[in-house]
This record gives sequence, structure tokens and C-alpha cells, in this order.
Amino acid sequence: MGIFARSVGVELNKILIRKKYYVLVAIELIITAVIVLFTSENGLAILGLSFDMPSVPYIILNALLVFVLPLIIFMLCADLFTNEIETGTLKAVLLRPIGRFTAFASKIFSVALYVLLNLMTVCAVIMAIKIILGSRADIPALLAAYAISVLPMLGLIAFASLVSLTAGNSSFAMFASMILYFVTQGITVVSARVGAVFFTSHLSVYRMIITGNPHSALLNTLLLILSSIVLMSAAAFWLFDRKEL
Amino acid sequence: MTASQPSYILTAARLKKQYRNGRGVEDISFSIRRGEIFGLLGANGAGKTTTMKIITGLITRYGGTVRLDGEDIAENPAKALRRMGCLVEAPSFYGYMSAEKNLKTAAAYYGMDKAKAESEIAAKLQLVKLYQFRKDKAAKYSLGMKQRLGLALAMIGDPEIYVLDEPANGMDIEGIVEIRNIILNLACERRASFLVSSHLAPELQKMCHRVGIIHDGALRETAEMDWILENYPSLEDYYLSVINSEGRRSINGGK
Repeated sequence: MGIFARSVGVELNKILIRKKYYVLVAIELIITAVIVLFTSENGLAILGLSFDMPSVPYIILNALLVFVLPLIIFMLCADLFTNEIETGTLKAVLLRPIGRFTAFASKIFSVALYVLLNLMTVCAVIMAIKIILGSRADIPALLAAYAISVLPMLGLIAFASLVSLTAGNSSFAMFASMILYFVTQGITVVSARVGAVFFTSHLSVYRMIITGNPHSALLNTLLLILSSIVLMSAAAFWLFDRKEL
Repeated sequence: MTASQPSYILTAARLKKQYRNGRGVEDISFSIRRGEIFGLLGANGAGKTTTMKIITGLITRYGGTVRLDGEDIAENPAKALRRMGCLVEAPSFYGYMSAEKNLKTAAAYYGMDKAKAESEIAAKLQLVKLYQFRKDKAAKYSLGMKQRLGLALAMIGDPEIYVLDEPANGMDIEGIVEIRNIILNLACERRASFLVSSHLAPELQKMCHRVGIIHDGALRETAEMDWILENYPSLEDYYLSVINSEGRRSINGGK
């Protein structure tokens, strides 16, 4: 196993050892399970009611992408970057035989893995309930929508790491990330045309795939997200590389 | 290199770092031999920690060079750190993890197999007398215990050279003696080299082969401990004479 994989393992372990990140997933899963149970075909049959909302898994995904996961990502990046710099624990990484790029990349990658794990767990719970209840559901499309959604989340991770590396303390890092994020979302609400230049207005890129949008529009959006990831990651690494502890 | 030349494992040449507040270090040069314990003695704020941070790569923008076996560490810091054990400023560990978990986390970077890592971790914990507290969260440790954990973390991977910044900081008398004995044993039995800093002259006098006096960001003088004790009543007297004299000297093998 290479140094990068070992380093990702260390960072992921640091995330999973903290109870708050388990609790958040547990709350998400409980809420998801209850909503899906009560909005699925046969779900309320036990109460003698019939109620079916097939789009609910996508509404849940949207809520995750726009509200829940951004907050978790901001918290994770504030913990893994700002807090470690603030408390000096980043030295525990930088004094090991690992280059700064590997240290930085493994932090980003571990947050992405946590987010992917989060999305896949929610998706698995939805699919399990749908299968158990015998409700209608396009399982492959659902799985694809949840999996592809990790891409715009990578953009948010790069954005949050950039903010976290400029902030002096972790509370401020999280607060600043949230404010900047909601400002860009607000701009999108006020003017969709202006907002379209921010990758944050394309967090629900999965819709373009499942609704069969033109390839050129999908490609444009994917390129915008990818270029945002590259630019913000490069800026964040530049800051990380210059950090003196 | 001829047979008469000493084998230097680490060479720092003309190190320079200036902070925004004007403090820092300037023109720091010294070398450390294999198996040697080299002490940096200086007051608080003299530049000891800055020097150590440059050597360990925590400070990335500086003047001068640091060579480990002739290789500039700036060219491949990861390779250099594979051979270094570091305890710089305060010990760096995760307070929400136990001592054992902290050591496992550190060992993960060295690619050791599980059995080797576990035996090495147990040995280090026993050496620093933390074995019985290994399951306790590190955040709950006393200052001395945190320092012991810092030393155990520095020993992971069996480094050839240790950079220890005030390793006995916050320790009781027994702890200070134990840490000193660990350092002396590693230098004697494994031929490990040490760069140890302290502002306490008696501590360095009892373990160092050579000492550099650092004052106001400059290395004023380096000298063999034997020579110091032949010419001065103690390292403390030598230190006072150096900082009260003008200029810079290199005495009796000091490089």
C-alpha cells in the first residue's frame, strides 16, 4: 500500500473516530428512512392509506446536496485544516515521511470518501426500503444520481479547504464557508444567469443526466465544475504548502 | 572524505529566517556527527525552535541549506523525515485519541506490518512509561505524560537522527532522568544522533557531547562538552561567558 493510501487511511480514521460524524449520518438515515417509508407505494398500507411520491429519493438527494452535505463538508474541512493548524496537530502529519502535496491530497480525498460513503449509505437505505415494500423505483438511475453527485461535492470540498486555509480559527472557517456559500446561492436565486458562473449553482448536476439534457449543456456544466475544482484546489494547496507551523 | 574527517549526518549551513516582527535566526551553521548528542543552549526566544523548525521542514521559506548525509532536505523532505524523529515545540498528537491510537496513526506512515507496528508501539510505550495509560485519551494526560508521548511518537520508525526541542519540558525530576537515559541509550546503543535544545544548562551538560550557544538569533559558539568542563566550572558558566562576550568563536572541534 502506497504512502498516499496509508495517509488517506489516517485522515479517514481521524474523521470516523469522532462521534459527531457518525451521529450526523445516523440522523440523516433515520430522517431518510421515515420520509421514504411514508411516501412510498405500500409504505402506509399498514395504516390503510395509499400514498406514493416516486420523486422523493431525488428530493432527499437535493436536500443533501444543497443543505446537509455542504454543512458537513465545511465542518470537516475546518476540522482537518484550520483546527489542525490552530492546535498544532498538523505537525503530527508534516513531521512524518510524507510530502506536503500527499498530506494535502489525502485530506481532500478522505473528505470526498466520507461524502461518497454518506451518499451511498442514504441511497442504500432508500433502495432497501423500496425493495422491501415492493415500491416502484428506478434503482440504476437512483444509484447513478447519488454516485455522480460526489463530483460537485468535490468542488465544495476544494472551496471549503481554500476558505479553511485562509481562516484563523475553525469556527470562523466554518462560518465564512457558510456565508460565502449562501451568498453564491442567493445570487443564483436573484439572477440565474449570473449565478450560473458559480459551480455552486450546479450542485444538482445529476438532474441533467437523469432528464437527458443535451450533451453540450452537460459537458459545459461538468467542465465548469472540474475547472472550479482544479482552480480552488490549486489555490488551497498553494496556501497549504506555504503554511509554517 | 578522508578517514580522519568526522562523519557528519546532518549539516546546517547559514540558516536564516526572519519573521515579520523582526525576530528570527541568522547565519546558523553547525554539523552533527553520527551517534553524537548536540545541544542547542539558549534563552527563550533565542532561535532554538526556529532552527529546529527549519531542519524538520516545518518552516519552508528560509535561507541556507540543511543537508542530511549530504542531501539537501528541501529537495525531498519526505525522504529526510523518514530518517528523522521529531519533537518540535509542543508534542503533536490528537487529544481525542489514546496514546496507543496516536502511535498507531504515526506508525501507519511507515508502512510497517501490523505485528511489527504493535510490538514497536508496545515497546515505545513501555520505554516512556506510558504503557499502563495507553488506552486513556491523550487530552487527559498531564504535561509530563504528554511530553513522554511526544518522545514515543518521535521514536516511531527508529530514526537515525532525533530533533528534540526541550524534551524534558514540564517533567518532574524522575521524568527528566528517564528521558535523559533514553536519549543516552539510543545514542550509545543505536548510534542515533541527536539535536537537543534546552534553556536549562545543567540538563544539556549531563547528556551532550557538544553544545552550541544560541543567542539573539545567532549561533555564538560551539564547543565540545569535555573542553567546556575542563575550562569552566559548568556549562552554565561557559554560557554566561559566551553571551557576555562580543563576536563569535568556534572552539575545539566545534563546526
